[in-house]
Amino acid sequence: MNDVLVDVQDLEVHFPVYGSGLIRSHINDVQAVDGVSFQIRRGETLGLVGESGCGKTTTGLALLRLIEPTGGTVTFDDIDMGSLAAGQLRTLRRRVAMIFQDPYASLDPRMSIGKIVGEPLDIHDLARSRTDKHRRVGDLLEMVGLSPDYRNRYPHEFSGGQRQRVGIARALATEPDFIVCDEPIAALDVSIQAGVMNLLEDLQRDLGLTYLFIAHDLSAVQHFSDRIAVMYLGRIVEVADRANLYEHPHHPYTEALLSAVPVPNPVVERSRHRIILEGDVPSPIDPPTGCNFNPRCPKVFEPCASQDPVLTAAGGHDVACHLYGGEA
Amino acid sequence: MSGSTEFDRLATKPVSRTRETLQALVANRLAVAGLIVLSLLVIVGIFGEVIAPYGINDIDIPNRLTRPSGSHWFGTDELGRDVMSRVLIAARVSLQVGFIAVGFALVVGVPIGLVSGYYRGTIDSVLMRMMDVLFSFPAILLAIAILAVLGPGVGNAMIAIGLVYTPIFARITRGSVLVVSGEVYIRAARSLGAGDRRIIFRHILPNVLAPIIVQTTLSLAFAILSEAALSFLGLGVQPPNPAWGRMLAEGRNFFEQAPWMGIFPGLAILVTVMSFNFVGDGLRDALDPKQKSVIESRGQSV
Amino acid sequence: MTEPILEVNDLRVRFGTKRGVAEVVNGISYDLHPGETLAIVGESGSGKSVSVLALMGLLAQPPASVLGSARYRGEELLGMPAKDLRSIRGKRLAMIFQDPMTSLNPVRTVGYQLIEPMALHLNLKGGPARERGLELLELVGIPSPDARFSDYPHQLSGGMRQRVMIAMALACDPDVLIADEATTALDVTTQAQITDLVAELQQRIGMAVIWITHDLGVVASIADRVHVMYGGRFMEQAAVDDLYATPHHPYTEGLLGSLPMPGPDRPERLMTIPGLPPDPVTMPSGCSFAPRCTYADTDRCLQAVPPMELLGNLHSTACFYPLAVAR
Repeated sequence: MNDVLVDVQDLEVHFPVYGSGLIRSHINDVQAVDGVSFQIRRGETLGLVGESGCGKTTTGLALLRLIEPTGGTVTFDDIDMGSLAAGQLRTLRRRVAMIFQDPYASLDPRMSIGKIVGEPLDIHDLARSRTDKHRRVGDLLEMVGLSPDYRNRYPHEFSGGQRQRVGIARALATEPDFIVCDEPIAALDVSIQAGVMNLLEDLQRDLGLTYLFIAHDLSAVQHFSDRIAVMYLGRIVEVADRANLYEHPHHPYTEALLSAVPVPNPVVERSRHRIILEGDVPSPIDPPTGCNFNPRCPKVFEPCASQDPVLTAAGGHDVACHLYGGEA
Repeated sequence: MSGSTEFDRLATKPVSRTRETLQALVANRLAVAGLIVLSLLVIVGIFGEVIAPYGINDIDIPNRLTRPSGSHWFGTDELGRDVMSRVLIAARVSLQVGFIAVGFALVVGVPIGLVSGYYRGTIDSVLMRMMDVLFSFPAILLAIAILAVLGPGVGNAMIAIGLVYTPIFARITRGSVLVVSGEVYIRAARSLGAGDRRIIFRHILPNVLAPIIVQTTLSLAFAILSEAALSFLGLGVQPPNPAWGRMLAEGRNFFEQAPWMGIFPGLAILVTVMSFNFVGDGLRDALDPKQKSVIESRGQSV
Repeated sequence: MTEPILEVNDLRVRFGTKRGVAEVVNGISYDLHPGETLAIVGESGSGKSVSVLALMGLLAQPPASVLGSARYRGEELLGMPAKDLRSIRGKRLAMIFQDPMTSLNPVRTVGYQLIEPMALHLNLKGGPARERGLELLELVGIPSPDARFSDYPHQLSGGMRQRVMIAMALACDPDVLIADEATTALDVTTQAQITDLVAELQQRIGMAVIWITHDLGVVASIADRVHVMYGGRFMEQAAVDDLYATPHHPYTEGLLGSLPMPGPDRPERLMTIPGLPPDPVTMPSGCSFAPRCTYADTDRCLQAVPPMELLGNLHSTACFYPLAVAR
């Protein structure tokens, strides 16, 4: 059995932009995801972190073909996802699942939570009988810390954290191998976030799950992931395991990101040297030539504005930076 | 530990959206009044002949054009027929035409809207352009044109009115489908492996019902009004069957001598249309998500 | 210790709702001194934003009812006639909000909105107003202020818009700046820019800042003193170092324990606080936090509201069984 469960090569998602007027010609592309490659091993958690507009959520959606990629390949357990026909893709969806960011919008408001959690069982015809389905839905609700007594309640009767748990139970219904978690705690209160994070950790341990954990909260990603990939403007700039990324960030953007995250410790905060970046994140419609980060990079030098750096191995990290030999 | 659980906040019984909506509706006095009137109307529609004291064609020339009195509450018309009996029995036709016409518009318009809004692209353009063509004609003119082709009569009036109201149902459905299609729970359903059919019928349709329901009640009001207009012009219900619109037309000729011939059918139309409007407005308010409980606010800083 | 510039005493805010009276702020008291940065930290529903909206007279009464006292330089703000309040609000007490897209008028240029408070309070118009406007844009670090002056809010990024809001707030040299979740909607690198900017401006102008937030990281990086708010009341008030090093209130301990701490070591399991925040319409009797508190004693904690007691140097807690945990 291959150790690598998910293999993404040069994934590309470009959204066309059309001009206005009678003949709406294709004038440009939003390069939301621009050549992203990474691998996720069985049982590990890969964190995908970046700020708004970096393309991390689009990557997660494209991974599961919820958005069609415009280029590149995604291989799941040696199966090329792009080559699957609709029926085969549907069958594959039993093995991969997604948890969404907004607990208020990711549950159909007209369905009871029992029906919501049971729907995957219906779609894939997994329950042997009504009693079987009833029991399984009850088990799933219990697994995420919700009482099965509430299966007939509706989403709006629950809090954000509880709804997120329903979303998790739904994702587990088909016993998937791999779950894409798209900002699962971002919309929750601080004191509730910990509970959901602990739950996800427990489930991984008990069920042997593999996760792609997408978030903008670097502290949460660092806590939760085994390895972390940092994205900027549609590209991955660095991949490293959690300890290494924290202690020895290579890419200047990673450094800036780490230094910008406030630490809940005032003594540490006072003694920190903050790297303050100039300017704002450019638009993915019009990315800079060469390295996407070069206009804001404090360590920019000669090749940066003209050559795209390539993700290369450098001391345990993969970095896309000319400082670390990023020439193609 | 004091044992407050995170489920203390749940109400004692499950509260579905439908239940909440009905509760809100019942709280609206005008809507309730409208519902009562409409129920009475339906009863009259079904049991018209039993309730009415006279027949629709009980011609009684000696007693023609008598004013409202104990034996004829709404007076008599130019042939001595009891106006009230005719008004009551005409209710059935109006309701029939209204419901069937709107039923037609629903059965044709909603699926068009579903397909258009869900699949978009070329099919959407084609279907919507077709709807635009229908929409661009003033309703009455279009209905008259259709009847000119099909010939007058109740059945054809139903088809004509139905066709006239199809575009609005298609439009409204399509608009809601566009919004709902973009919701995260639809994407979630896809991620589970749900196919188009399941998504459209189990997820999208229940969530777009609200505006369709509101539009149905409002269209019923308009349909009845349209039927009255058509029969006023002699194109709908044919004599001797009574219809409110035609009674208005006939009443016009005798307006000075016997105004009651026109007033009562007119009042009937008014009351019916208003009742549908009240119910429709009440439904719209009850279904308005902004009215839902305060606690549901999403992440607003407090 | 200099005279406090703002003195809040037993502030209470209630709202009339369909379901009953919502007690959103239940008696908070604090002082603000010139030049200091005070953080009021709490989760959603704690009442922290409503409390400052009440201060600024921005709550419609009814349905709100505001009780208690809030004195700015000795003058009582609550109940002040609208005309007088308007001359303080925007001029001496300024506020910036979470979402600059909805707090800026989308159909007016940046320049117009910048000049508005100046025209209103300082009677500056035309040329001199524009000059001051450009000065302010430079002060908040907006490049090419000339060009930005005639831009519309949607043409600027989130970070830029927030800077414009800050410029507007500073237009009349306020004594107090209230930042209500001002960086919550921003990316972390932009957040760093903004917190840096506010700190720098504070040094330069000498204004006091009240920072409303739920982010304990931001608090650690900018605050001098911290008030932890829950269920409409303060649970703990302390200098920032003391709060993080030695939290005395179980809620503070729970909050700090539930945060993932970045670091190279194997992460520990996060602490959780069971239950949910209270519903303001059905506030529990006794301590707001007692229903969720692992240390709570049913007899005392659920019956009476613990008073705020001084436990150390500037460190107070409202708890019958305060902790003395060194972290």
